Amino acid sequence: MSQLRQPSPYSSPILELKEVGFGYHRRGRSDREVLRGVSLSVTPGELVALLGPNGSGKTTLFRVAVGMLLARSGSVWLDGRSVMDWTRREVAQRIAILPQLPTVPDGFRVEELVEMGRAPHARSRFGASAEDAEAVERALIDADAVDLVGRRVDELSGGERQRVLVAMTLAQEPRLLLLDEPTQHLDLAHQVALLATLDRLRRTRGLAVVAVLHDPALTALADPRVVLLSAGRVVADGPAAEVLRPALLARVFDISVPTALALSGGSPRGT
Amino acid sequence: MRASVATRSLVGGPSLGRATLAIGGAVVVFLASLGVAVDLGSVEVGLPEAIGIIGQRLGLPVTETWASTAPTILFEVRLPRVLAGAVVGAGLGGAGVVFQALLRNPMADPYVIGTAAGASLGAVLAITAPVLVPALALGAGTAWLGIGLAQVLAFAGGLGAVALVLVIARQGGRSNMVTLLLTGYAVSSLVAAVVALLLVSSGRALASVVGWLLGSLGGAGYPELAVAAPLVLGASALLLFRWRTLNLLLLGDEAAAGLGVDLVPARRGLVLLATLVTSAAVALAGTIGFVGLVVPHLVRLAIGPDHRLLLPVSCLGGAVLLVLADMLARLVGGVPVGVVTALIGAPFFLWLLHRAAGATTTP
Amino acid sequence: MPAPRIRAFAPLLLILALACQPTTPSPSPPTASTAPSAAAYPLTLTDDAGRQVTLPAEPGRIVSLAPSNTEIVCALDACDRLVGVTDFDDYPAEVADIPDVVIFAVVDIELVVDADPDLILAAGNELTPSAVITELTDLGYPVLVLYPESLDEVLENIELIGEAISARDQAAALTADMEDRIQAVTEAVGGATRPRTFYEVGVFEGAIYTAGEDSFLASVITVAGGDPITGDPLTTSIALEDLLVADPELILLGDAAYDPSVTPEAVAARQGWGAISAVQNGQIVVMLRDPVITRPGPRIVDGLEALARAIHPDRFD
Repeated sequence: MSQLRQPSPYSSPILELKEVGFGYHRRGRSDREVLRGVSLSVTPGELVALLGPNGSGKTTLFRVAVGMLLARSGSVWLDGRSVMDWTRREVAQRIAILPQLPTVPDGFRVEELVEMGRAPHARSRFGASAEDAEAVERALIDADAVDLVGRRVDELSGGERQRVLVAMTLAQEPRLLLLDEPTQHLDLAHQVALLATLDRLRRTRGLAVVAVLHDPALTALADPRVVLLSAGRVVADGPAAEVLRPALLARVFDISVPTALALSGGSPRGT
Repeated sequence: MRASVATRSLVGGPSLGRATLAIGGAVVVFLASLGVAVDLGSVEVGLPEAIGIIGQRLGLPVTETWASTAPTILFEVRLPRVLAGAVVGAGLGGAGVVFQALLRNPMADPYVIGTAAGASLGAVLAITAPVLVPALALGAGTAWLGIGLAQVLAFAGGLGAVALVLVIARQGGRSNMVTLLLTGYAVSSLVAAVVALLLVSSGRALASVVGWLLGSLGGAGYPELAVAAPLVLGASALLLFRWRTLNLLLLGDEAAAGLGVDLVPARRGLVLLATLVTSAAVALAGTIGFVGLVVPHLVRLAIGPDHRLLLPVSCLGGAVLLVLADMLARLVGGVPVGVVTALIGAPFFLWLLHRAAGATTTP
Repeated sequence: MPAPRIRAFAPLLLILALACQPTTPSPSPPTASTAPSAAAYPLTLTDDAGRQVTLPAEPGRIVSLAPSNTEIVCALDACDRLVGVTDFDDYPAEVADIPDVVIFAVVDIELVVDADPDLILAAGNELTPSAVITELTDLGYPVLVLYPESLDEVLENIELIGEAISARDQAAALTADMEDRIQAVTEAVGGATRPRTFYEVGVFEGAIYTAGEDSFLASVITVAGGDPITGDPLTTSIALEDLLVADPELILLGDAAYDPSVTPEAVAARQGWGAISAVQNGQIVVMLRDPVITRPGPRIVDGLEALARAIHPDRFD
């Protein structure tokens, strides 16, 4: 699963952050810096795992990337244009984002929720096109949520709901998928299956994926490019084998080296 | 590909059959309620006679089998009132759906961000202080339109109060929906206090003011309908085109934005349209309670939360509820229709609370 | 429910035809020089609300929206022309057979239209809501609003209705008789000291209702030889503190006519009322004739006499 691990030199980046800084303004106090000089480039077909402790700026990075938050310094480029020059709908046609704590409204059925992922592509006022129907069906299959069709979303377990939400973002058919902790609530089998699906989609359809992950061992399993974020800065960016070194993890996550060693899968990989 | 059979028919929104059933059923019930309400009243006009009278109006050669007063009762007294009930009910039902989605609050109703309070102030001013009228130079305009000054000032008051709420809510920077809700509550309370002051000093106009506050379709004639109906129906139609945005807003701000909703203008448009609908409805019939709160919940229970169906069916449902409630009010004799809707609405509201409480204790 | 029936709708058509005409100045109001009882129609009258009301022909179907109006019509021998009254109407007895169009103080417009009137007699000061008056006028009916604010205006109202329904002779005879009786009362109480009189209309939720300032009831009490203690001109209520300051020498219990629990003993026992002179001197009188005292109709002279007897019992033995 590594033919396309290195970005192809011919494909231009779908997303490019150049020296991005961002801070939350606080009245009467110095601003809280969340991102400092972050540069990151994602090309089609890449699977990027974003790792970092709580508060390191992962979620903020996503929001700045889709233009929901305005970078204070630096620039964000989406598909060759500044992200601020795209309309929200145009951004949504290119990037799908799965928030960490999405609200799931009562009463909707699984297929209705997944169909909402088609909103940025909607052409007709009221109906759904055959194209939409196909995309929803593909997404349900890819997210392994077909068996949930017909059920009410608010009656699903946490893991089932997460699969439906992933299906919704897949139905959006973006070129870049931003997943904030997509493996939360999932049992081990579904975590592995999800990573396999994402890996397959990047290889077969050139989908770029940036996923916030917490488990270094699981991350290593998917063998992605890993970006390690700490206090708003990119401290490492490279193949999993290079970044997921116990010493680095121990420093970033403030844990002991043996613990980091145990968490990253027992033995250093990539030799 | 085991999935293809299972999913194909389920994808693409509500199936044509389900949508037809829901909307078609609602239309049938709506037309039936119109028919019953036009036919029933303190004076009995039999169904054959009613049909005959309509036929005569259309120029058909019909032998007159009815009292000479029957056409007047049907067309001049009853029909405008029934139509006003339909228009106001549809507006309140639809606006209720929009505010509940917008504020993501099941207890929201069309009056929640100040419309009712503002409209009340306008109407009460018009009723108790007609001295102010020339100063406002509105008298001539309303006379020309043939509509009451109370209606015009109520409409202006509703829009004005919401504008005030929006401006104040924005002072805190990013206007979020909780701020909007709380600001609406505070401004409503303030305006309601002014209304109460005017009420105390209203003297002999007290009965008119109280009647207006309780809500009544009695004062709605064709000139008022001719102004209010296009406003309510037009704005409701524009809201209907925004069903997708309403659905997405239920997912939360971040997810909605991620799916292409430009939150600030989208919300502004929805608030404006829903306020327009509500103000026109309140101007026509006073502050009729519970329709805008109860109907969306009832319809949601029946056909689900998808706004593609929820919005049109709630409009029809609101129309049915208000037309029938007003018919009851007329038959009982002079009970304000707002009292009837509250008598139906309050127990339903309690049941809803009970049901919600039950749902949290038994997962 | 009245069955659908065929009616001559010529009067209605006539009204509509007239309503559609450009507003031409109506012929000058009939003067006394015309034939005594047969007024010339179309006839334009000015009612108590200052509205010009035009009657195209002699009214044959009259709807009365207030008991006082009903009594006036019947006193002018036109009871048989009434086609709609209120559920409050109780005099004369034959009005019980006339359909009610006002139920629980609410005017049912449909029933009014169904009665097919060619004259509607409404009450003023929101007793008939102004919205109802507007709606009925818009429907093309001539609506005469009557709101007497003094005893004299009751007599004027009787003459106005007499003119409207072509019963001027009867009206003249009736008012002459009433004037005689009023004159008799005035003479009987003449020269007597006027006791400060508090007429209790009702006490609800602690609010005390009496005769409003400059009201019809206040004027009747004055003619009956009393000095009326009045309440707010709009709400007709008076605060207990103001009542204590006014210190009535005589309390008349109009509400006792409807509520047997209102007795002189009960009134004397009310918190704070013990300080009132009338209570200390036992000058509390039950007024069972309240219905004719507060109703501005022909029987107001009965009410006036009852009041005068209560205020000055020594002048009537």
